[in-house]
Amino acid sequence: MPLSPIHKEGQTTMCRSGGKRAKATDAGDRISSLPDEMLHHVISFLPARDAVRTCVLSPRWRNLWASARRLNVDTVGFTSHTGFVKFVTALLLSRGCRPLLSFWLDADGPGIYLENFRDTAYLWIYHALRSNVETLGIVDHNQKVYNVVVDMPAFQLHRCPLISSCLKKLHLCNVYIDNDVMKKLFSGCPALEDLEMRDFEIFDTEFSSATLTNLSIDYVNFPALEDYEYFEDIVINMPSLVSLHIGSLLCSKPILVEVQSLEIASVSIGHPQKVTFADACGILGALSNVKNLELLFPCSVVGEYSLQRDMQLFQVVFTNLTTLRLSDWCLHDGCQALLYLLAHSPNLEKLTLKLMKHGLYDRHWWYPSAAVVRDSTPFSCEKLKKIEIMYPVGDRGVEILVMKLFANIISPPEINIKPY
Amino acid sequence: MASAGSGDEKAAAAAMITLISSDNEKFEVTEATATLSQTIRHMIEDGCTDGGVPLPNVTSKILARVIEYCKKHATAAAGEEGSSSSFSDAAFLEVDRAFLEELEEFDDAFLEVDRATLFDLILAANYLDIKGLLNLTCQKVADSVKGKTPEQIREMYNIVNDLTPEEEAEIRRETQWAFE
Repeated sequence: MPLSPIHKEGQTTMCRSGGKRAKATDAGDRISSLPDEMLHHVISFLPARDAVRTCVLSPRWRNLWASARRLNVDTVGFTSHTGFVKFVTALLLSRGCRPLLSFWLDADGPGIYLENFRDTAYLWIYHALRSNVETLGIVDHNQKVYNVVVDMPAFQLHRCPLISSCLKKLHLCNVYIDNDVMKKLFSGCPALEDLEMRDFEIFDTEFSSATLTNLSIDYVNFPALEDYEYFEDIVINMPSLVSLHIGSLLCSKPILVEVQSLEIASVSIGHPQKVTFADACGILGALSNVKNLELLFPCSVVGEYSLQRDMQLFQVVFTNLTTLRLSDWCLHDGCQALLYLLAHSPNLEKLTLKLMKHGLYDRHWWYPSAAVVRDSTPFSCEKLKKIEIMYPVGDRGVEILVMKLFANIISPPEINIKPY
Repeated sequence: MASAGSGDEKAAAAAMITLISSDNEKFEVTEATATLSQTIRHMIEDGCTDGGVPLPNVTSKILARVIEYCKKHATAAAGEEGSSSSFSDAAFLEVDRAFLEELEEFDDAFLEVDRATLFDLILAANYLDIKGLLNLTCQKVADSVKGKTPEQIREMYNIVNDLTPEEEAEIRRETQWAFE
């Protein structure tokens, strides 16, 4: 056999087969000759109604849909909730108790509201859990978009029997969760690892789970913030948590009680909450083992600034931290928080600072002190390879910031400044 | 992007694996790229990769594409360190978002292939056990079917309808609830 060329990774182009034969390739029924397993996989990506309708394609397809292990039940294409309920009920009856890996119930569309047939929806969820789903998603209509037309409350989960020893991932969007749901959820689903909640309504204050590894909380559209007069603090007590994402939070602040196993944390808290420096430093203090950290406050951080009291109190060393991303708040009082973090993160490789647009007008609080030479001793950040500063066009504070960094870091790395 | 230099150094230091396609072409890839395939990962763990890994089910044309995919995604996986169980692929830090977008663009462009190649990629992804690639390619097929009538799907994929009109009517009766 003649020596064939060796394609090495890293070479710019691989020599593709020269004269690409024109497609005589589409001939034949390639799709039906895929093994069942792969056709199930394809069907898993279809909305349930499209999945069922493949049964008339040919005898090969007749029963494939029924053993696909992922169901995506979607209100798209249904005009009334009776039609939708009839469809889903028939669907679940037809597929019987064949095992399921994932079940998505998505009612984010106009006209059909889960709350209108709450008990039936509970039955479906119960059926899915009984079928041993590992992933469950419940998405109700987006209030902000649709309550202009119909003022229909969000789907209430408080009497839903969320009990399963198989459930690993739960995604909730636009639903209402009452005080006990979280507690019942964590005790009823001991295998739960991932919890993602978006735009949900909750008045619970404590999140405690020994098993959860990923928690993601995000408000984008819901509920209307002006409807709320007070915000309670949220307490997160999750000793197994590896990644935490808080996009924004409908409470005054998160209090991280036990999150020592966190490796990735992304916390962004803004309007309408007022974040104080003590809060910011409190969050930081709980994240001492984190590898990647993003701590952004789109609004101004308020309150009396005292690094001595707020952070050095913790005497935290961020031994594992390699990637750090911060907003304006860390620049207060001559960039003390920033410099503290840099000096106490011996393995930091990349620092990104994102200066906010609004901060332009109230950043005066750190300008004056920037010129003052404090009695801080320069330190070295041996592993730090890159500093990136993103700033609003016209923000002259960035120059002071760069000077500050040069003055305090012994042989600083390249600093990229990017206006936006 | 800017850390490309260090990435290359790491790559050079890493062990190389030789993959051999069904038509006997050899591809040298880094271990990081190769282990996106669970099948190859197991072979490496069992120490059976000396002298190259023969892949009798994958042609050089398809293998080149699969490697292209793995190379791109290996960088993404590196940051994840095995905890691939997150909804958002553990990469929600804004720093990573730009990279994720780039990855999506890559995926979109990667899927611009004819149907035959797409099916070959599905089979290769399944054989090599590359979850991301299998999801990507199956999703592509599903997207092309979504919202289409059975007639349109049959025509698109050359599916021969060997159901008699009576049989088809019977199936439609059984599943009438899905056709209303």
